[in-house]
Amino acid sequence: MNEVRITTEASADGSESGTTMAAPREEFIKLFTRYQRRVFLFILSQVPNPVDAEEIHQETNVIIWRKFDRFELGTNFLAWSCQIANYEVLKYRQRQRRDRHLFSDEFVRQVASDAVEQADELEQRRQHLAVCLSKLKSHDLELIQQRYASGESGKSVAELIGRPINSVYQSLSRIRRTLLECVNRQIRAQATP
Amino acid sequence: MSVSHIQHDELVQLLEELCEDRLDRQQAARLEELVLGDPEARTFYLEYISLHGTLYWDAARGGVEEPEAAEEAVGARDATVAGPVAATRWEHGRRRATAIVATAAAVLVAAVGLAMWPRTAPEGSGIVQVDPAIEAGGADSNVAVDTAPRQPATIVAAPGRQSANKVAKNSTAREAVTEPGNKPGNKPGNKPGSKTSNPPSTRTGPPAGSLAGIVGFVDERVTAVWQDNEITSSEVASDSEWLRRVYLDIVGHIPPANDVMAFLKDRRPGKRSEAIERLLDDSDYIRHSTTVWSNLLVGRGTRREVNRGSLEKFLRESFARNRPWNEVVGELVAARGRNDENGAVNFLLAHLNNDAAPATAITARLFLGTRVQCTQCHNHPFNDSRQEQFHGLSAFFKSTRAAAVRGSEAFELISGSPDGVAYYEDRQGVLHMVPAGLAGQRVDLEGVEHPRAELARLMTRGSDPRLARAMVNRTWARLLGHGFTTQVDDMGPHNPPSHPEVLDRLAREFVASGFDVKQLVRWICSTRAYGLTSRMTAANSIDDPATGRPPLFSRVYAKPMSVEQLYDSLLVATQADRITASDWESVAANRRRWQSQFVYSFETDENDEAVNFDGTITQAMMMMNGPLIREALSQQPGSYFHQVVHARGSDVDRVKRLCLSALGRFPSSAEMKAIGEMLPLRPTAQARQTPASGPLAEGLQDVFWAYLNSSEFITVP
Repeated sequence: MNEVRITTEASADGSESGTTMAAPREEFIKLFTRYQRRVFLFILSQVPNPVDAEEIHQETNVIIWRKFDRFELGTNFLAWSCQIANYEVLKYRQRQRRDRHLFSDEFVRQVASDAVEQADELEQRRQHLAVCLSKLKSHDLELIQQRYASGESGKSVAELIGRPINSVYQSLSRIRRTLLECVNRQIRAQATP
Repeated sequence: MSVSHIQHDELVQLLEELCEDRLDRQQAARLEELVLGDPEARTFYLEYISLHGTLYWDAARGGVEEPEAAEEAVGARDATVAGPVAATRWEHGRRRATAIVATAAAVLVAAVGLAMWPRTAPEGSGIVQVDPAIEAGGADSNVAVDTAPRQPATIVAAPGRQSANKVAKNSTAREAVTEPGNKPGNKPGNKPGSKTSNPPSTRTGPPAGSLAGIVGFVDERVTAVWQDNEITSSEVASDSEWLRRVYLDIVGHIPPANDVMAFLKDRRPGKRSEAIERLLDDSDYIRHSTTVWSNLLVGRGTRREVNRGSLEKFLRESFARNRPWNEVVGELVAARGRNDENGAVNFLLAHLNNDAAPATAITARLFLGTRVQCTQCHNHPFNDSRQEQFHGLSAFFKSTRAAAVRGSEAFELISGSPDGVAYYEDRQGVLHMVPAGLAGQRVDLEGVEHPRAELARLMTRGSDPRLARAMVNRTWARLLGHGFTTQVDDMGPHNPPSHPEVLDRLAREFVASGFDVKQLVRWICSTRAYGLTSRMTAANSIDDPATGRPPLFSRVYAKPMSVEQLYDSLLVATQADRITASDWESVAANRRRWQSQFVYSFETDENDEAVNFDGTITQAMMMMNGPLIREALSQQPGSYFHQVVHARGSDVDRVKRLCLSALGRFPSSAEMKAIGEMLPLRPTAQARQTPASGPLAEGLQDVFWAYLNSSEFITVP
């Protein structure tokens, strides 16, 4: 699934910087695609609205492509990308009027530095999440899929399935907590074999 | 431990709001505070966000994988068990100056009051101290979870007491929590309406206006929310618990022992609805409603301009005739004249300081469920309440002032000739002029002789749903222990209600009933939710609004008694008033005097809801050593205690009667056992012949004292 999405992004951005050389390019594309999601999550931790985060992510991608010749293969690609993303988050926050910031600069800084530190743990959790999703009861899975289908929100899902909005929020909340607990259990189980 | 547990719940709640893009500015600030303050919270934040982000990213993940293989599926079972049950310890402090130092008392309170308020005890303290009132100060989560681990309680008797010193075991305390009055065969009736809910899409409206229809709808919606959250509600409340609650809620005091007896014996299925009807017709319903509303309207303190007696008379007459609520509010808002002649003027007389800003704020808060005081100075950051609205509303009050009436103590509320506009400066310092208006509707007050009458009309004619919604929310909160919104009077768009359909329906029906306040109480008291016990179980431990989660009403949330409820209940339990005063007037005067001792420790600037018996040291001392309790325990003729001592029954009966009178239930077997070991109970034949005296009478005093000072006593279950 990811592949589809990423290839389209990559080619769109790639065509823009099409003049760059092709030799290390393949390696670069591999890294680029591998870390797409993690860069997105990194941005999302600071700009919690996914739509905004996606926008910033797109801009980050553009810069990453533009600067790809400056990246030294063999160094930490994620750290490098996150630096760029960081800068894009700042730019985004500057564009936004100050009084629309939900979070303070201090908060964003702190979260960003933690997110880089814990990147590997978070990636591990993601893998467990797949297992946990498969354990969900079918109607819960259906609801959470509907919620996260593109462009949807708890509110629109409520309208779609004709359930009171509050009850949908409560169900979603319960499912997310359940998933989180499940991931925690998986991690613990792995830690103590 | 328990603190971070609560914070954890709060954090989850905030993160949920964040995921659904509903986090407002205050919540964001709180989230920052929690996250920045604690590295663990930071990790948790990242884990939650990346879960959310991953779901978002992977949204298109395909088909369901073998759901039947999910034997140890992540489901309700795991989800509920996963919520850590707070390991709580209880501390009971006891300080008492008098000579009555009783082990019996200590054991009882440990058993009886078993920590309605969980609290962390200092490590290694083996001594259980009894100080329920102080304990109440930590009121957060009011109910003990049955499954929660408990600190073993060792009780050390004060020296000088006879051989009765025993050690109470933890198990006794635990057993005591299960209520003995609730026999299995004694299932209460009165559960009108549908029991189980179909999928919520069945929305065929039951007949409008009928009790069964309304209650049925509410039950269906509330039950559906339990299912959405995959919780099971608490059990139906025992008759003892329910009766005590409904008495305190409707008539403002505990049920007398005789009423409890009669109710427990009654086997008819409709007895609960009958009790509701009887209490709504009781004159104490009028008295209690008057007390509640005069405290809300003018506070408990005294102001020179306010004639409380006159206001109470106005309210008493209103509740006695069950006048439509919109009419009562209209009169309060539009009132003019002398405060001794027209009781309604006292409401605004109490709030005219500071250019009538408090009058504007409290009118919006009490009657419209809207907090506008912040928008006095700035626009609301995240809803559309604007400075303009506050000042538009305040324009109605601009010409109102108070004047002393010459040659008397009275004050007069006067409406002068209005200019119909208000001025304010915005934060950039620009001066604005706003015409009078309510909820976006502007009113031209040019030439209007009595602007507040216009406001009253706008507020109460039914087109602004806020009047009904505010009253429904407040009444619901008063009865169930929590409103549909966290702050009962802050129902703005930034604060969506937990059960919007229930609130809407009740508000509509309330309007349709002609703003019938008694009906509203009757509906809510008849719901399934109101009939549940306040005791939490493992299956609904997540339903705890004290942790910041929205209420699910899968149990009733226990609440502390108000000062007035406490005083009146003490009188009912002890009949202490019969010793000191015979006529009604002096009983009332005594109550006011007693109550006035508390007021300074309760009063707040905005007369807000925080005025409760919230367990300051003063209150605790007052409870334990005050003259009222002393009289209650004295053996003077007339008091309940005297009657019990001289009754022709066994000593066990005496203990039972004391418990019944104080707590509305019989002593549990554990309590009875503990008491039996500590008091020199006599053979029945002898006990029937002679009144209790000497060490036995003192012991009985201690038992009664302990019951009256337990947390169970000061709690509305």
